[in-house]
Amino acid sequence: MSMKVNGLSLDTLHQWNDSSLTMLYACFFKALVNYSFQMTSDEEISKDIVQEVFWNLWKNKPSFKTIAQLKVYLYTGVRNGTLNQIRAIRAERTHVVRISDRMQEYQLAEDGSEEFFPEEVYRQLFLSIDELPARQREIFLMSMEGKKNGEIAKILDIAIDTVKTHKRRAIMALRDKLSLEVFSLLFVLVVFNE
Amino acid sequence: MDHSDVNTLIRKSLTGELSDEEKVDLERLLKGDPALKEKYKAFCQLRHFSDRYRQYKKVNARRALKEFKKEHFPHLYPVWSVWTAAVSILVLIVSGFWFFRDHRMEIRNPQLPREALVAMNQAKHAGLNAATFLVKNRPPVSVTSDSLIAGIVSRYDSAGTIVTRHDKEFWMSLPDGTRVHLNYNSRLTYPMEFKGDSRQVELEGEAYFFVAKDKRHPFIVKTNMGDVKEYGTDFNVNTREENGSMSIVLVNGSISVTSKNGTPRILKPGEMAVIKTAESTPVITKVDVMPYVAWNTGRFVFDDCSLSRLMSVLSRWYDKKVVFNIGNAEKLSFTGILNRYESLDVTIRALRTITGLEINVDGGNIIIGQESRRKK
Repeated sequence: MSMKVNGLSLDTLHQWNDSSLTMLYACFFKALVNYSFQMTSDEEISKDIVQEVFWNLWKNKPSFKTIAQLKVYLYTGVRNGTLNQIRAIRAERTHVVRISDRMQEYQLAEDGSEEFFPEEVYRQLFLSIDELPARQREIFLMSMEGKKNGEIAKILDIAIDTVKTHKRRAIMALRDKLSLEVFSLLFVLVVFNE
Repeated sequence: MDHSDVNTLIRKSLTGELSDEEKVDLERLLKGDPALKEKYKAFCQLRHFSDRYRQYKKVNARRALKEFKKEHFPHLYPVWSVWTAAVSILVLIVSGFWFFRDHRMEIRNPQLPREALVAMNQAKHAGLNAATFLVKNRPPVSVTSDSLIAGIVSRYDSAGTIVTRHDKEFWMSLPDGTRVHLNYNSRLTYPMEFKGDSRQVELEGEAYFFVAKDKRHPFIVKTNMGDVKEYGTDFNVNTREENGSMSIVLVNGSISVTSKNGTPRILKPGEMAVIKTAESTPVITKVDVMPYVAWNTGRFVFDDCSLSRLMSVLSRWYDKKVVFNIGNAEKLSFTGILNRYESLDVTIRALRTITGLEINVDGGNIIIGQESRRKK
């Protein structure tokens, strides 16, 4: 179910052709749906919201100076679409104020650089996890769920050393793909589980 | 602020690697930036991470891209390169019947408009999405979701019937992808697979149809007063209007309405056809469709409606009797929108405030008393 693409490129985007579309979907669709889903708890509604944001992007074809600006456009579009949706469901005004606090906003720092934004961390992480070989991914995810090496070995019926090897390989593969910030987080998550 | 510092400190704190000096630094940072503190807490939840990944994984981006292209660039689709044409023919020869079934499923499934999706979820959350599923020679089964029906039918069942009670509604899909929203006290009979020249269903009661486009196979709703035939659209059919007539309201697309005496009339969007009796010809008028289809998106809409009519709608929905202790219920008129899924208490409170009347719920009754300016 994962689409392979060689990373984000503004040049590709600004061609506004089939490759641009493929890149957008491969890099962002699942993560944006996931972002919206935290509020809607409904995959279909969130998918709809993201499809609409992509359509608006396509209609307007804005010119982005940096990839960070593209990310702001997408995350903000999905956030607004989702909050509007929630408002349609719950008419009480006070509720809406609290809800919009719960859905984080993606903003840039004054110099235009990206700020810490968990959703973007998840996006990069998940894309990279998708690209892991199946066994490594399986073991990695199980350890994320809090399972100890011994448990994993038992469930998969393999040696504990094999589990450790796969885990180590998964971390190495992810480290190569992720920025330092994202990877630090990941390291925490893995080590915490030992 | 240098963000890599923040992340490193956080990471170290979670692995227990913080030096005393760094501990102080981190505490200061978290104290000075409550937003950051929240983020920090959030990242401590490991469980959350794996749940999110599982949800992330379920989404099919490839299919979404295909749907996006189909919706916005439909002209791209008939274009086949020589290579793909050759491949598809091969698939056809090899798979035969299987390929045809797949192709039928490609008939575009109507995307429910946002409002309808929201209403559907509200109904489900409020526990109002429920019906009984009937199939020949088997005991009736209660279902709270469309997806449960697949588990009940067997290969030998050719048709099924869905029945809603007086206080429930039901959202479902038909085998061609048509979405149907059945209102309360209604019955829909439909085949497990649409065969032949047209797609036919039978309706008693009220339903809203979002029909899957298929120009070659018209969609026909049969009722005891007449038939509604259409080609890919959304419309509302109500076979039990107050005076015993049947009404059909068209929102989008094109339909024809034929009463039992056989005179078909074509409807345009924004029009309503009324069939008084099975023998009459449908009478067509232009209407504001909102009041007739508002139930489909979770609302009651009242337009200059008498209090007695308003209360009769509410009494049916909330299953209460209404007792009028005031004289001129007919004279008071009400225009507005009520949320269908609101609790009775809240609705009554709203009405009390608006009308200034004493309205109370006592057991199975709603009692409308003397006009009063006192606050209860």
